[in-house]
Amino acid sequence: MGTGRRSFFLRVAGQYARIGLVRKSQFRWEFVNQVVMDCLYYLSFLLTFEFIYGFREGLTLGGWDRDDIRVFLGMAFVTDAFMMTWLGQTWHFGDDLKAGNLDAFRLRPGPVWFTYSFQRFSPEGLTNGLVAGAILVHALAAHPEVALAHWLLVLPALAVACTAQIALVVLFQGLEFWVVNADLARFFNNVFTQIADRPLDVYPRGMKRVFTWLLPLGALAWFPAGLVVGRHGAVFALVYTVVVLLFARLAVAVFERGMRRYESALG
Amino acid sequence: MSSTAPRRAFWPLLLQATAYELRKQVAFRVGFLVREVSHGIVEPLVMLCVYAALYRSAGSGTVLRGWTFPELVQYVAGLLVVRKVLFHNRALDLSTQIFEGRVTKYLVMPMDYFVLGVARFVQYTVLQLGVASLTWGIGALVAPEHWLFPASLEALGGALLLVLLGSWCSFQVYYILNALAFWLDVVWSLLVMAWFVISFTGGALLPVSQMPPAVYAVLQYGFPYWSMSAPIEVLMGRLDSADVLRGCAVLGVTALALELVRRQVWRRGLARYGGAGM
Repeated sequence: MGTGRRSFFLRVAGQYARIGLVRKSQFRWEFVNQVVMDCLYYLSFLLTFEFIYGFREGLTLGGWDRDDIRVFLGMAFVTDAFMMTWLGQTWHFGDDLKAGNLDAFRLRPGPVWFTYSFQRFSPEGLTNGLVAGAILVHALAAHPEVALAHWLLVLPALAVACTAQIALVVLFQGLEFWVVNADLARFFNNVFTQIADRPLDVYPRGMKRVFTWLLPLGALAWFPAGLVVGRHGAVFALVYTVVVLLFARLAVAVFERGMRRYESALG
Repeated sequence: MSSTAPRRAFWPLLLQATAYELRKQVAFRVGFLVREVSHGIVEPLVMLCVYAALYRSAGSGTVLRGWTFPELVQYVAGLLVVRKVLFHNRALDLSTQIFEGRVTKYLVMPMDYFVLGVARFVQYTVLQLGVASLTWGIGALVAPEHWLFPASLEALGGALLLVLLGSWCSFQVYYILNALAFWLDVVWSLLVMAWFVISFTGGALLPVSQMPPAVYAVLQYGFPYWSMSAPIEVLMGRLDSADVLRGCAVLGVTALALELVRRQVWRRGLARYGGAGM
């Protein structure tokens, strides 16, 4: 990606963030509600896993002990907060597709997958990102085996996670061009988020392979958390990063191909 | 707003409105399959995988806070069925109707507007009872050795009663939250919040009786427990008819209290309503 192109993406994202802040300043009650909503989501997961590990000493989930799982949940929350901050428009993709609301994006000087998907910047998502970040930092600080070298891996690990999150959202939206009225983007996001919110090691081997390599849900929390707690080696990390980047390219290609099928209102 | 025409009788109107609601739901087949049939299937299966990993780590035959792994498999089978019937946060679009002023045309008709909400509840229940029965039947055929079979006919009746009463309470909660659209600009986050709370305190992530004893003791006073976790335990034979009666009492009192709140919220909301949306 050239410097000019990268600066285009950053400038557009900056404008979307400005608009999002202005919009949300008019809905202050809603801002509070959404922050509380995601905190409840975090709380329900934290409590569930604390209850599970509280059954007895020494329990693990697919090899993940209590300290590992806290880091895993922190990663899952941060990735989710990234999605809520930048990619919330995906919940409306089905309706926008039916109503022909993508027309305006075809006229904009930028790729539709980006200008459409990133348009709804959410300050409450960003606030939740700070809460999620605090949970992650606390989990890492409390983990007995996380050393300084592991802390240095946090940002690259999160970069891979966010790339995978963007790719998944773009892919699910792209598939909806073929099945209008199915609400597929929303459905897939719901389903796969639930799967990705647990370490892939708890699933049967075949399922784990699919969600590691074919549809890399593992990149959302399992890979980044495993990397910083030392469960994944350097070679695997490099290979997996390449896989995620290839997947992202594929997702964009599917979306762009879908856009060619788009004929304004498809409802 | 009111009408001088004679009011339409509740039950024929409910029947007619329910038929329309059913037709609306099945109009788009793929959407119907995605939204209605697959609803509530994934989370219990994910939970099952988590439990399988947990009991592998604990050793086979282990009892963790009163539950063995085969019992948890049955619990998850029960969740697959029960969660389908429980009214959920996306099944009502009252807030959109209020925001867009679509309520107005009904207010001048000789009918109680609430009947349309009840019709949605009946449509949802009828449809989901069918889907839940199908899900149970498939499970019983595919994995009879692990599946949940009711301990007795009495247990089946008791569990069904609890689930339906609990579903009515959920419906009332979502109706009230939707009606807050008379005051708020956006209500969807409240609906999602309620869904999180109902799911967690109802036992969607782990059986309530497997939570720490103090938490279990508190959650027994809430309707979510009696709508989800308790009916499954009744089906399994872990709870008896005395528990069903206790559950009915909790759900009955909750339903009554929610009905009073709903009437108040609706009455006060209409007083603010301008007729052209909010």
